[in-house]
Amino acid sequence: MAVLDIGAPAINRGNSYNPCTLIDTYNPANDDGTIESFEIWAFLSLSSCKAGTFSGSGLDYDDRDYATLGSITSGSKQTFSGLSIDAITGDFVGTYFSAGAIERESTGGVACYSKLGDQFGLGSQTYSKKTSYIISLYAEGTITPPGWTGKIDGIDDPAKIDNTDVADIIKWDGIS
Amino acid sequence: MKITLEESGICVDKDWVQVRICFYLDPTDARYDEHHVQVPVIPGSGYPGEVDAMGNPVDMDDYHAWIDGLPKQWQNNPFHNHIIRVNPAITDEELKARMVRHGEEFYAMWASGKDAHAGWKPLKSDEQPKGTTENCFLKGLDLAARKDNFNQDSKKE
Repeated sequence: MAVLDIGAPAINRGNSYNPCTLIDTYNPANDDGTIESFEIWAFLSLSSCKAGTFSGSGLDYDDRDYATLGSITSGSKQTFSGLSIDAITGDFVGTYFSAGAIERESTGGVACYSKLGDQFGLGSQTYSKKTSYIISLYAEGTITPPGWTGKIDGIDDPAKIDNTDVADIIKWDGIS
Repeated sequence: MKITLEESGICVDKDWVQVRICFYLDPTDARYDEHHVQVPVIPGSGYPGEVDAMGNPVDMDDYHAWIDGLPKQWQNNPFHNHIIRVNPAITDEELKARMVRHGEEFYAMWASGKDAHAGWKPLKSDEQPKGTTENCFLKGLDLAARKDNFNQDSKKE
Protein backbone atom coordinates (compact mmCIF):
# COMPACT_ATOMS: atom_id res chain seq x y z
CA MET A 1 0.00 0.00 0.00
CA ALA A 2 1.39 3.39 -1.00
CA VAL A 3 2.28 5.85 1.75
CA LEU A 4 0.53 9.16 2.31
CA ASP A 5 2.55 11.69 4.25
CA ILE A 6 2.14 15.31 5.36
CA GLY A 7 4.22 17.74 7.39
CA ALA A 8 7.79 18.03 8.58
CA PRO A 9 9.88 15.59 10.64
CA ALA A 10 9.02 15.63 14.34
CA ILE A 11 12.49 16.48 15.63
CA ASN A 12 14.12 18.59 18.31
CA ARG A 13 14.43 22.08 16.78
CA GLY A 14 15.89 25.40 17.93
CA ASN A 15 12.76 27.33 18.87
CA SER A 16 9.15 26.80 19.88
CA TYR A 17 5.57 27.92 19.30
CA ASN A 18 3.20 28.77 22.16
CA PRO A 19 -0.48 27.67 22.43
CA CYS A 20 -2.65 28.36 19.37
CA THR A 21 -4.00 26.60 16.28
CA LEU A 22 -1.06 26.07 13.93
CA ILE A 23 -0.97 25.00 10.28
CA ASP A 24 2.29 24.05 8.57
CA THR A 25 2.32 24.23 4.76
CA TYR A 26 5.56 22.25 4.46
CA ASN A 27 5.07 18.97 2.58
CA PRO A 28 1.34 18.97 1.79
CA ALA A 29 -0.51 15.66 1.34
CA ASN A 30 0.89 13.80 -1.66
CA ASP A 31 -2.42 12.03 -2.41
CA ASP A 32 -5.95 11.33 -1.16
CA GLY A 33 -6.14 8.89 1.71
CA THR A 34 -6.37 8.29 5.43
CA ILE A 35 -3.87 9.42 8.06
CA GLU A 36 -3.17 6.61 10.50
CA SER A 37 -0.40 8.07 12.65
CA PHE A 38 0.87 11.41 13.91
CA GLU A 39 4.32 12.27 15.24
CA ILE A 40 4.91 15.37 17.34
CA TRP A 41 7.81 16.76 19.38
CA ALA A 42 6.77 19.13 22.17
CA PHE A 43 9.27 21.58 23.64
CA LEU A 44 7.04 22.00 26.71
CA SER A 45 4.36 19.39 27.46
CA LEU A 46 1.14 20.07 25.56
CA SER A 47 -2.41 20.10 26.94
CA SER A 48 -5.66 19.30 25.09
CA CYS A 49 -3.81 18.65 21.84
CA LYS A 50 -5.68 18.01 18.60
CA ALA A 51 -4.10 17.21 15.25
CA GLY A 52 -5.58 17.01 11.78
CA THR A 53 -5.71 18.14 8.18
CA PHE A 54 -6.48 21.56 6.73
CA SER A 55 -7.38 22.84 3.29
CA GLY A 56 -7.21 26.40 2.06
CA SER A 57 -4.96 29.06 0.60
CA GLY A 58 -3.75 32.57 1.30
CA LEU A 59 -4.61 33.32 4.92
CA ASP A 60 -7.87 31.29 5.04
CA TYR A 61 -7.90 27.65 6.13
CA ASP A 62 -10.53 25.13 7.21
CA ASP A 63 -9.93 21.84 9.02
CA ARG A 64 -11.02 18.76 7.11
CA ASP A 65 -10.74 16.15 9.85
CA TYR A 66 -8.90 15.73 13.14
CA ALA A 67 -8.32 13.60 16.22
CA THR A 68 -8.18 14.55 19.88
CA LEU A 69 -4.81 13.36 21.21
CA GLY A 70 -4.89 14.90 24.71
CA SER A 71 -1.80 15.67 26.80
CA ILE A 72 1.60 15.16 25.16
CA THR A 73 4.85 15.02 27.11
CA SER A 74 7.88 17.03 26.04
CA GLY A 75 11.45 16.03 25.33
CA SER A 76 11.05 13.17 22.85
CA LYS A 77 9.15 12.33 19.69
CA GLN A 78 5.66 11.15 20.60
CA THR A 79 3.90 8.90 18.11
CA PHE A 80 0.16 8.21 17.95
CA SER A 81 -1.12 5.30 15.87
CA GLY A 82 -4.58 3.88 15.28
CA LEU A 83 -5.95 7.12 13.82
CA SER A 84 -8.36 7.49 10.91
CA ILE A 85 -8.22 11.07 9.59
CA ASP A 86 -9.30 12.07 6.08
CA ALA A 87 -6.76 13.78 3.84
CA ILE A 88 -7.04 15.10 0.29
CA THR A 89 -4.16 15.87 -2.03
CA GLY A 90 -2.67 19.25 -1.10
CA ASP A 91 -4.00 19.28 2.48
CA PHE A 92 -1.78 20.67 5.22
CA VAL A 93 -1.09 19.35 8.68
CA GLY A 94 -2.24 21.30 11.70
CA THR A 95 -2.56 21.17 15.46
CA TYR A 96 -4.05 22.94 18.46
CA PHE A 97 -2.93 22.87 22.10
CA SER A 98 -4.11 24.93 25.06
CA ALA A 99 -0.80 24.95 26.99
CA GLY A 100 2.84 24.08 26.37
CA ALA A 101 4.94 24.64 23.25
CA ILE A 102 5.77 22.72 20.08
CA GLU A 103 9.25 22.55 18.54
CA ARG A 104 9.69 24.93 15.59
CA GLU A 105 12.36 26.64 13.54
CA SER A 106 12.24 30.07 11.89
CA THR A 107 13.88 28.88 8.68
CA GLY A 108 13.75 25.84 6.46
CA GLY A 109 9.99 25.69 6.06
CA VAL A 110 7.48 27.22 3.66
CA ALA A 111 5.14 29.06 6.06
CA CYS A 112 3.19 28.46 9.25
CA TYR A 113 -0.23 29.97 9.91
CA SER A 114 -1.41 30.61 13.46
CA LYS A 115 -4.51 31.80 15.26
CA LEU A 116 -5.20 31.93 18.98
CA GLY A 117 -7.71 29.45 20.35
CA ASP A 118 -9.05 26.12 19.13
CA GLN A 119 -10.12 26.57 15.49
CA PHE A 120 -10.98 22.89 14.81
CA GLY A 121 -14.59 22.48 13.78
CA LEU A 122 -15.19 26.20 13.31
CA GLY A 123 -15.09 26.31 9.50
CA SER A 124 -12.86 28.59 7.47
CA GLN A 125 -10.81 30.99 9.59
CA THR A 126 -8.27 33.71 8.82
CA TYR A 127 -4.76 33.10 10.16
CA SER A 128 -1.53 35.06 10.64
CA LYS A 129 1.40 33.99 8.47
CA LYS A 130 5.03 33.38 9.44
CA THR A 131 7.08 32.82 6.31
CA SER A 132 9.72 30.04 6.43
CA TYR A 133 8.57 28.75 9.83
CA ILE A 134 8.39 24.97 10.29
CA ILE A 135 7.05 22.86 13.17
CA SER A 136 7.68 19.31 14.38
CA LEU A 137 4.42 17.73 13.26
CA TYR A 138 4.29 14.83 10.82
CA ALA A 139 1.54 12.46 9.72
CA GLU A 140 1.54 9.24 7.73
CA GLY A 141 -1.15 6.98 6.34
CA THR A 142 -2.36 5.04 3.33
CA ILE A 143 -3.42 6.30 -0.05
CA THR A 144 -6.96 5.50 -1.16
CA PRO A 145 -6.65 3.15 -4.14
CA PRO A 146 -8.35 4.44 -7.28
CA GLY A 147 -11.66 2.74 -7.92
CA TRP A 148 -13.36 1.79 -11.16
CA THR A 149 -14.75 4.65 -13.17
CA GLY A 150 -17.33 4.57 -15.90
CA LYS A 151 -21.11 4.48 -16.42
CA ILE A 152 -23.39 1.78 -15.07
CA ASP A 153 -27.19 1.88 -15.04
CA GLY A 154 -26.93 5.42 -16.35
CA ILE A 155 -24.85 6.64 -13.38
CA ASP A 156 -21.39 8.11 -13.98
CA ASP A 157 -18.64 6.88 -11.64
CA PRO A 158 -20.88 5.30 -8.97
CA ALA A 159 -19.41 5.15 -5.47
CA LYS A 160 -21.04 1.74 -4.83
CA ILE A 161 -22.15 -1.20 -6.96
CA ASP A 162 -24.44 -3.77 -5.33
CA ASN A 163 -23.78 -2.07 -1.98
CA THR A 164 -20.02 -2.58 -2.29
CA ASP A 165 -17.64 0.39 -2.40
CA VAL A 166 -16.22 0.58 -5.90
CA ALA A 167 -12.75 1.09 -4.42
CA ASP A 168 -13.06 -2.34 -2.74
CA ILE A 169 -13.96 -4.23 -5.93
CA ILE A 170 -10.91 -6.10 -7.14
CA LYS A 171 -12.59 -8.46 -9.62
CA TRP A 172 -15.92 -8.40 -11.50
CA ASP A 173 -17.17 -11.34 -13.58
CA GLY A 174 -13.67 -12.75 -13.54
CA ILE A 175 -12.11 -9.52 -14.81
CA SER A 176 -9.54 -7.86 -12.54
CA MET B 1 6.82 -2.21 30.14
CA LYS B 2 3.91 -0.41 31.72
CA ILE B 3 0.59 0.13 29.96
CA THR B 4 -1.91 2.81 30.98
CA LEU B 5 -5.06 4.54 29.81
CA GLU B 6 -4.51 8.27 29.20
CA GLU B 7 -7.51 10.16 30.53
CA SER B 8 -6.96 13.20 28.31
CA GLY B 9 -7.22 11.00 25.21
CA ILE B 10 -10.58 9.45 26.09
CA CYS B 11 -13.50 11.01 24.20
CA VAL B 12 -16.40 10.32 21.83
CA ASP B 13 -15.28 9.88 18.23
CA LYS B 14 -17.90 9.28 15.53
CA ASP B 15 -20.12 7.35 17.98
CA TRP B 16 -17.33 5.16 19.28
CA VAL B 17 -15.52 5.55 22.57
CA GLN B 18 -12.01 6.70 21.72
CA VAL B 19 -9.45 5.32 24.15
CA ARG B 20 -5.77 6.33 24.22
CA ILE B 21 -3.32 3.72 25.45
CA CYS B 22 0.20 4.73 26.54
CA PHE B 23 3.14 2.34 26.61
CA TYR B 24 6.09 3.08 28.91
CA LEU B 25 9.46 1.35 28.98
CA ASP B 26 11.12 -0.04 32.11
CA PRO B 27 14.85 0.65 32.62
CA THR B 28 15.66 -2.91 31.53
CA ASP B 29 13.66 -2.58 28.28
CA ALA B 30 15.23 -1.97 24.87
CA ARG B 31 16.07 1.64 23.93
CA TYR B 32 14.94 2.89 27.35
CA ASP B 33 17.10 6.04 27.14
CA GLU B 34 15.28 7.36 24.05
CA HIS B 35 12.23 8.35 26.10
CA HIS B 36 13.85 8.81 29.53
CA VAL B 37 14.66 12.49 29.17
CA GLN B 38 15.50 15.60 31.16
CA VAL B 39 13.08 18.48 30.85
CA PRO B 40 13.03 21.98 32.39
CA VAL B 41 10.74 22.65 35.35
CA ILE B 42 8.67 25.67 34.27
CA PRO B 43 7.53 27.92 37.16
CA GLY B 44 3.84 28.69 37.38
CA SER B 45 4.51 32.34 36.62
CA GLY B 46 5.94 31.39 33.22
CA TYR B 47 8.49 33.30 31.16
CA PRO B 48 9.04 36.76 32.68
CA GLY B 49 10.30 38.41 29.48
CA GLU B 50 8.40 40.25 26.75
CA VAL B 51 5.98 38.22 24.59
CA ASP B 52 4.10 39.09 21.41
CA ALA B 53 0.33 39.03 20.83
CA MET B 54 0.45 35.25 20.34
CA GLY B 55 2.26 34.78 23.65
CA ASN B 56 5.55 33.86 22.00
CA PRO B 57 8.77 35.34 23.44
CA VAL B 58 10.01 38.36 21.49
CA ASP B 59 13.69 37.69 22.26
CA MET B 60 14.26 33.96 21.69
CA ASP B 61 17.90 34.16 22.85
CA ASP B 62 16.73 35.58 26.18
CA TYR B 63 13.99 32.94 26.35
CA HIS B 64 16.44 30.09 25.79
CA ALA B 65 18.86 31.54 28.35
CA TRP B 66 15.95 31.56 30.83
CA ILE B 67 15.02 27.96 29.96
CA ASP B 68 18.65 26.84 30.30
CA GLY B 69 18.78 28.38 33.78
CA LEU B 70 15.75 26.48 35.08
CA PRO B 71 16.09 23.33 37.20
CA LYS B 72 15.68 20.07 35.28
CA GLN B 73 13.88 16.85 36.11
CA TRP B 74 13.92 13.35 34.63
CA GLN B 75 10.76 12.25 32.86
CA ASN B 76 9.81 8.87 31.40
CA ASN B 77 7.73 9.51 28.28
CA PRO B 78 5.62 6.89 26.50
CA PHE B 79 7.59 5.08 23.79
CA HIS B 80 4.30 4.81 21.94
CA ASN B 81 0.66 5.97 22.10
CA HIS B 82 -2.17 4.09 20.44
CA ILE B 83 -5.75 5.14 19.82
CA ILE B 84 -8.55 2.57 19.67
CA ARG B 85 -12.26 3.07 19.03
CA VAL B 86 -14.52 0.71 20.94
CA ASN B 87 -18.19 0.04 21.50
CA PRO B 88 -19.44 1.35 24.86
CA ALA B 89 -20.41 -2.22 25.81
CA ILE B 90 -16.77 -3.34 25.88
CA THR B 91 -15.92 -5.09 29.15
CA ASP B 92 -12.93 -4.26 31.34
CA GLU B 93 -11.45 -7.67 30.57
CA GLU B 94 -11.76 -7.14 26.80
CA LEU B 95 -10.16 -3.71 27.04
CA LYS B 96 -7.31 -4.96 29.23
CA ALA B 97 -6.68 -7.83 26.81
CA ARG B 98 -6.40 -5.40 23.90
CA MET B 99 -4.04 -3.17 25.88
CA VAL B 100 -1.72 -6.11 26.57
CA ARG B 101 -1.91 -7.43 23.01
CA HIS B 102 -1.09 -4.04 21.52
CA GLY B 103 1.73 -3.59 24.03
CA GLU B 104 3.30 -6.86 22.97
CA GLU B 105 2.94 -5.97 19.27
CA PHE B 106 4.42 -2.50 19.61
CA TYR B 107 7.22 -3.54 21.96
CA ALA B 108 8.33 -6.34 19.63
CA MET B 109 8.69 -3.85 16.78
CA TRP B 110 10.37 -1.27 19.04
CA ALA B 111 12.87 -3.81 20.37
CA SER B 112 13.79 -4.75 16.80
CA GLY B 113 15.01 -1.19 16.28
CA LYS B 114 12.08 0.14 14.25
CA ASP B 115 9.25 2.56 14.98
CA ALA B 116 6.80 0.83 17.33
CA HIS B 117 3.96 1.02 14.80
CA ALA B 118 6.00 0.10 11.70
CA GLY B 119 3.86 -2.10 9.49
CA TRP B 120 1.13 -2.34 12.14
CA LYS B 121 -2.44 -2.98 10.95
CA PRO B 122 -5.57 -3.55 13.04
CA LEU B 123 -7.23 -6.95 13.07
CA LYS B 124 -10.63 -7.25 11.43
CA SER B 125 -11.94 -8.44 14.81
CA ASP B 126 -10.87 -5.12 16.35
CA GLU B 127 -13.61 -3.32 14.41
CA GLN B 128 -16.50 -2.70 16.77
CA PRO B 129 -20.06 -1.53 16.11
CA LYS B 130 -20.84 2.08 16.93
CA GLY B 131 -22.81 3.05 20.00
CA THR B 132 -24.86 6.12 20.62
CA THR B 133 -23.24 9.47 21.37
CA GLU B 134 -24.76 9.42 24.86
CA ASN B 135 -23.62 5.87 25.68
CA CYS B 136 -20.14 6.60 24.37
CA PHE B 137 -19.94 9.78 26.44
CA LEU B 138 -20.99 7.94 29.61
CA LYS B 139 -18.58 5.06 28.94
CA GLY B 140 -15.78 7.55 28.37
CA LEU B 141 -16.49 9.22 31.70
CA ASP B 142 -16.59 5.81 33.39
CA LEU B 143 -13.25 4.72 31.91
CA ALA B 144 -11.61 8.04 32.78
CA ALA B 145 -12.81 7.79 36.38
CA ARG B 146 -11.46 4.23 36.71
CA LYS B 147 -8.34 4.63 34.55
CA ASP B 148 -5.98 3.44 37.28
CA ASN B 149 -7.77 0.06 37.32
CA PHE B 150 -6.36 -0.55 33.86
CA ASN B 151 -2.68 0.04 34.69
CA GLN B 152 -0.73 -3.05 33.74
CA ASP B 153 2.80 -4.39 33.88
CA SER B 154 3.57 -6.49 30.86
CA LYS B 155 6.12 -9.23 31.50
CA LYS B 156 8.28 -10.12 28.54
CA GLU B 157 9.92 -13.47 27.88
